[in-house]
Amino acid sequence: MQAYNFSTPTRQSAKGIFVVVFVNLAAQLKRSIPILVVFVLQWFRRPEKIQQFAWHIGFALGLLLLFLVIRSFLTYKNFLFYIEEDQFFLRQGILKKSKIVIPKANIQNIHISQNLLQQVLNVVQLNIDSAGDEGSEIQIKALTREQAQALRSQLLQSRVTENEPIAVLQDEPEEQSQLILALNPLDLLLIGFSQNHLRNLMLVVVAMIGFYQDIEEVLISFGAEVDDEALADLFNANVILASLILLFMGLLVGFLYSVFSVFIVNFSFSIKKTREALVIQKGLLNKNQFTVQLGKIQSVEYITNFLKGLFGLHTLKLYQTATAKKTEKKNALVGLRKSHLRQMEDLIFGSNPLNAVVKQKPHRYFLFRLIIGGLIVLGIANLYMLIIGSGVLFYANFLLVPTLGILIYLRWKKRYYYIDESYLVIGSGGIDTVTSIANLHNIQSVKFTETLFQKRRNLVDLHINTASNKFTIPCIDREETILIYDFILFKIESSFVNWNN
Amino acid sequence: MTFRNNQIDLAALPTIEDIQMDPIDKRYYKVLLLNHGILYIALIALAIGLPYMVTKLSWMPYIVLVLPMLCFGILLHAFVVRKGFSQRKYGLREHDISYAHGWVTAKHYTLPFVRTQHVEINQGLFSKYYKVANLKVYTAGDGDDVHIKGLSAQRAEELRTFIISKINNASV
Repeated sequence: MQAYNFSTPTRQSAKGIFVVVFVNLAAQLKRSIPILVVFVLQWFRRPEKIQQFAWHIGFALGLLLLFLVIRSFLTYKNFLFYIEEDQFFLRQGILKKSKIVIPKANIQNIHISQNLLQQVLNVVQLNIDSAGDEGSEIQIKALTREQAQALRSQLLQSRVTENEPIAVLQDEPEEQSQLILALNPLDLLLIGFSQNHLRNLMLVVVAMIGFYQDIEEVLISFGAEVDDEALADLFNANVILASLILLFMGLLVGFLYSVFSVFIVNFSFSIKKTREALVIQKGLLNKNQFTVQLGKIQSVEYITNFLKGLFGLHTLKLYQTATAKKTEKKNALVGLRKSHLRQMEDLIFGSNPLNAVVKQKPHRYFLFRLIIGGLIVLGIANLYMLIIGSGVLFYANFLLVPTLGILIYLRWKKRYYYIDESYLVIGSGGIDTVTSIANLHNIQSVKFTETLFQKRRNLVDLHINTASNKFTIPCIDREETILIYDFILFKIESSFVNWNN
Repeated sequence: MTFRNNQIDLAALPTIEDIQMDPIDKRYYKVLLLNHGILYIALIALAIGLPYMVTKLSWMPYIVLVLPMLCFGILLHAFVVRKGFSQRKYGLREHDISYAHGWVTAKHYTLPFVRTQHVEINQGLFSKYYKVANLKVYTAGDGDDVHIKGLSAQRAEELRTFIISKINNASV
């Protein structure tokens, strides 16, 4: 392997110009979708008008394209990065120059990805997440794979080895990695099949309500006859049958969406372990390779549900500092069995915190609060139905009341907490079963709150914050909370274990 | 489990219930009054001005319904602020800072200095006049930062110096 030297300012691969052009083009297209829609509609309505101005339109588009190409070329020319004294530098900008500096110690994780275009051009994209605020991610859009891997290993390499020859370090990560899990297409189908389809049903319903008007307009503009009455007639004829048909169709769409999205996002999924990091690979259209440093993980979350439970499948989420929202989706690892979870716990925590768990329940007042919340939702829904004024809608209560009841019961049943001398474990979830684990030394701050109603019952809510998550233990006894509170503070303040090494 | 610590006597741990919590500066109440007063006046002005601008609104139900409700809301808010003011307290220990506030929902925060990222003092226009300041202590991530409003400007500065010295000592 060729040794790469990043101490002098380096440009990305020349193919980067294409990538930048396409990225800009895609961004422009996205922005001008409304104009395009109008344009196409006009074309259908009055083709002769468009033909009259065809030359002007072509010229304008050509000019725009030329501008984009020149701008992309300049963007490429002015995009320089280098490593100097344990810091990563990035200079960019054509007229408005900017310089970004990230100390190596602040780099949270680095991932390499490859979308369709980059696959065609045979370049990869390198993303650097820093511990800073949201949006501080750096993207280098076109590097050769070797270049990217060399840059990654240099950025992740600790300070001590900084001055050693680079070539020695380069071969190491690929060779010593140990495969933890690889999924084949059949596994992926199983995972897709066992997703939480109810959530997707909600998405489908929301999307249908949101776009109903738009869909109708587009259909009409293409000359289709949309019959509003047909739907109403269907409902009038047999409410229950019509509802069931709609529900079934929604579920089917949600189901297909789950299966396809899981398949595409997680295609050829694998987890490998290198010396101090996990390397996760996945994706069909957009190939991704994430490197998650074990020491930077703040907390983990296991998610399963009834269906997944039957197959023994779990989704694992790894949480890291600050950029939690951004990395949440990326760091969702699917299709893990119990044995994989134990293996990951060994890597991340050095032990299996779940073995010792004795589930502690919140006070019954929490259930009372859930029921009150459910009643409020029911009230608002019924008020809405009253305003809409369609008597048929009230039948929805036959569906709504049991659904809410079951959800409240599940949320109450799945809620528990456990704290020992090293770990915090919290169980939560409704349809899903969620188990969160955090190391006590990763806790950043603690808080408790008590409303006037809770005060009478001597109950408080305990809030525990890590750099990535906020955990809430609702409605527990005040005296017990104080004990936990004091103990957590004692644990943090009496040790000097770095929470972010 | 590979490693176990010795038994810790939980009852013997220093407890937050022993912290001597100090009230914030009384002058901050005036700042609150001024800030909220401006808001109240703006709301009432808007409520009175609206029917003049929107001619479709009829006066009668408006005067009977909306204005009394608004006044009641303002009085209620003012009452809650009054009640809540005496709940605003802070306490300092060797290794952490605590802040409590809120009457309807009482909140109690504690933030250890070993996890503190940085400290910030800010002062609004009225705060400047009454020589009070707000102290904000940050941790990593978007967790609950401690934001103590209405310290005397001098006290805020003292606290900041103290916390920064703690942070620097811890990182050495």
